[in-house]
Amino acid sequence: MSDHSTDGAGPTRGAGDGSAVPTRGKAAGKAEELRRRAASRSPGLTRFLDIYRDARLLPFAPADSEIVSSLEACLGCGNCLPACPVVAALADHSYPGPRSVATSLSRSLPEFWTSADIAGLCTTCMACEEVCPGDVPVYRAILMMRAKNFEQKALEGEEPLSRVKRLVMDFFAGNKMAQAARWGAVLQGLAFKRTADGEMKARVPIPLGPLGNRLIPPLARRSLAEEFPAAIPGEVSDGPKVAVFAGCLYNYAYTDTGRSLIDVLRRHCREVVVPAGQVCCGAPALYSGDLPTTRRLAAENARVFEAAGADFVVTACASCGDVLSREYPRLAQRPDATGPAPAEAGGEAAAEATSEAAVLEAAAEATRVRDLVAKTRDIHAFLTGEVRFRAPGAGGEGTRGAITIHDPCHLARGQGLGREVRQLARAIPGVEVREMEGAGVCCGGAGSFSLDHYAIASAIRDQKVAAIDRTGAGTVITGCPSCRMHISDGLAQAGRSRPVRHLVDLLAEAYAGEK
Amino acid sequence: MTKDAEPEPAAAGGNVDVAVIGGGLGGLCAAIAAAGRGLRVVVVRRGLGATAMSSGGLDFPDRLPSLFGREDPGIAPAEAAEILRGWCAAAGAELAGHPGQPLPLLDIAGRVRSTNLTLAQHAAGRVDRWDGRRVLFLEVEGYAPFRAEWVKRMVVARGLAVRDRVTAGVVAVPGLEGEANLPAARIARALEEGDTAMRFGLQVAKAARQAGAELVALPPVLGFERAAWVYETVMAAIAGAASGSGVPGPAVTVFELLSPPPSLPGQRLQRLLDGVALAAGVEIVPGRVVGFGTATRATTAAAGAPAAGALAGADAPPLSVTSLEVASHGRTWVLEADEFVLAAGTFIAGGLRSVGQRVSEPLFGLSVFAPPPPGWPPGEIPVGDRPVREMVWERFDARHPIFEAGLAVDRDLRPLEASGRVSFANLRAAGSVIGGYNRFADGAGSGVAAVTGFAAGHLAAAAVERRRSG
Repeated sequence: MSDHSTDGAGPTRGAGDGSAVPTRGKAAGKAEELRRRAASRSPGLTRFLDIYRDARLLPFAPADSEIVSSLEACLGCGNCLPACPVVAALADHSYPGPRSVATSLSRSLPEFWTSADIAGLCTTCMACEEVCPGDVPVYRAILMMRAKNFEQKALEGEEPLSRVKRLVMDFFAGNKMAQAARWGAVLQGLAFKRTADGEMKARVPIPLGPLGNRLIPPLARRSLAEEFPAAIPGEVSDGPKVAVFAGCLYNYAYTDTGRSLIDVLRRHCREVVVPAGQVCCGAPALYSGDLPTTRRLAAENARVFEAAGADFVVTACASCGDVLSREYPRLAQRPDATGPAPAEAGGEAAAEATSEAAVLEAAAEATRVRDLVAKTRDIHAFLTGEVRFRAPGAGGEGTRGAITIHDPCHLARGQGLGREVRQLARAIPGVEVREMEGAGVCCGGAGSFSLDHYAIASAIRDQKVAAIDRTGAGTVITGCPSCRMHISDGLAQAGRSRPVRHLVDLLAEAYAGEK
Repeated sequence: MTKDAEPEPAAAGGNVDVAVIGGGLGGLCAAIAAAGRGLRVVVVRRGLGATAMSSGGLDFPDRLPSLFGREDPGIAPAEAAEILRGWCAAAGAELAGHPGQPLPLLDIAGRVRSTNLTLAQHAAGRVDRWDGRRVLFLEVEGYAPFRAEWVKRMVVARGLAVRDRVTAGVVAVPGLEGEANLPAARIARALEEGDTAMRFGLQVAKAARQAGAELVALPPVLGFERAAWVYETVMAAIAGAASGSGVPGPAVTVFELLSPPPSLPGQRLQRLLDGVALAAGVEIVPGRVVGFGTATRATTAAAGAPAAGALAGADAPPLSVTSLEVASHGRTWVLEADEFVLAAGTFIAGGLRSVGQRVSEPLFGLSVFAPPPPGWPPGEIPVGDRPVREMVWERFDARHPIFEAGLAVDRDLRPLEASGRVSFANLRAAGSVIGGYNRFADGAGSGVAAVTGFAAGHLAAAAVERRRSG
């Protein structure tokens, strides 16, 4: 078999065929380890990988096959093309659009390693699925392609992520997040300065690629969980007990919104807790195709929140809520070829005992995750659906004014929450909602997407900034901290700075200002 | 919620007056008609609606074909066409053509499509009014589906023009020079920015002058949301170039070809209709109906619900639909309504399903009817009596009876069972889900959709009003 990667840009081949492709020692060792684990789990899987490694083929789980076969429902109608923000923003034709993803995957044997670049260009905004008459799961297909690419590269001993993405991913998904954030907060003060609207900007342009001139959120010196180590008593004695899923950005950066969330919850609940030990929801890992990490984080969160013993788990982050409620249940559907291996030494009896324990533990873990999924609510859904919402009373109207609402993709399309946001906003005295054009169009930030594709992310954002500006509203409201980061940056760069906040910030202020 | 809270939003679960399933031409006409009478209306639809997948021409007869179970359409096609024309005018677009009058137009593949109504920028190219004028087929750089040279040859081969009256050329949209394989919408939106349309128009004028053409055929990429403005601007640029050059020449008219899907002309029409619906206060929810609830509405029937006439001979009042289960955005919620309109289209849109040898209506399990086989007495027959294989001929372009299969409806557009009984007291059908005419061969699809849509919307609204006042 000849080498595909003659230009050096394509994926390099694994060491399995004895060719002289250099791989880094650590990564190659990891690949070997993964293969060994796979072997101990299933000899059939090993045989498959041995035979098809050269062709870069990976076995399909039933859930994968289901996605690929449902892509055949693509009629080729092209409704998705005008709806796609990436198609609209790219002047060249480097992104062929959602329709091509569907047609190319459904009409030939998927070779995922050839599609890594294209799959990486999707902002996962789901606008294509909304206008699709065939219910083609383009979003699912993109996530599957990314997962397959990640798996492929891991098995070949390559680093699947770009350098900047790996840096940020390790920061968010690593185990030392809390310490890293504290040191980060100190170091950030040296390298970045605070701008008038409370964001951070580099003191000198940093040669860190896309991070150089970007406005980024200030890291808090104390995380939200550290600020609230003890249970917070609520005002409604017969209300529910709620555990806050802070999410990394509200836990470590935008703690102002985290505090607003707790204040709003406190007024509707019996008790509010911010369980210590909660970790990243897994969104950056999931959207990069790193399912093993997502699975590990899901299991960890499920353990932490089971111990919290709350009636609901409430988050103010659109992506966290979407991942917890819609993606965690799917993680179980794709068996992981690279998952943890059963214990090896100790004879047959010991191995059997260990595997029985492993089966029981896996079942317990699945139950915990299901429980977390069932309890998870976005704050907008919680306030409008689970408790008797108390609208803020009169007072402080004069300090408010016109707001405009940006609908985050993973809130509006992911969780179907858009009207609830407006319903709550209109309940605040003195607030006028001015709708922007294309409120539900992706802002381009898309979480970690903007790390690798800042130019595209900014081009998509131009429309959003212009639409915000046309409303003349003084404040932008959005239920997603990643949108907040990207839109604040865009407004600042266009010289149109104004606060970008969460609705709970307005609610908390309104409660505080009650006469 | 608290004191002055607004009514519960529909998408969070809730209660409206009229729920419409399907958001193509039929569903939106029904929704707009009902909303125009002050009712709360929600449209639940998969994707954008079938109009987005049309070529951009509306097939609109002056007399409706007969529909199963119902001869009298209730509203004249000409009346429906004028309402649509008014909507277009309000959106700044001109709907050209007349019901029943042939309007032969070219599409980007060089085929002639005979339709009846379309936007003015397409109608300007009707092939029966070329009158020997010289036609320039102008390819747009980056738009792959339209090959000017090829269409030019098709036109000559089909005898639409003689060889020396047609030419082919290429033009680029400023800023998109040298591109390949751009989606139509990408080019269309580029033309809406700044003075791009004006500069593009000047280039078209130059190409027309060089070719000595009086008619210029362009692919349908002239603007998306602001298509009418882009077309006017291009025409103004051409007129300006002609008067500025000082060289006397023939007046040049630009027209856009129609397009099979992906069809910008179809998507423009759909967006235009969406805009009218939203302005009328209709709520459009993307989602799929996965279930429904029913009840016997004894009280409402007694209060004079519109069941009486159609129910002659039935011993018990029919069931009423009370709610729909809607799957959207990863969750399922319940939508309650007083009246329901089924405008879910046919096989592609999901209103009808053909599995094995059976055609069925998947949402409510309604009876589907087919045309009788040759030799049978006239009148529709239950589709179970005529398997699918008997309704499809070998020739692809034949008049396949399967495209006549669909629901039968009573005077109030309510679907009927095989016994002639009304299926549900408050469910009406609109658009192509109603059978009896051939949706492909009869050239009447848009007319049927608009007329039954308006009728169903008004009938549903009247039922709600009667129930309220009663």
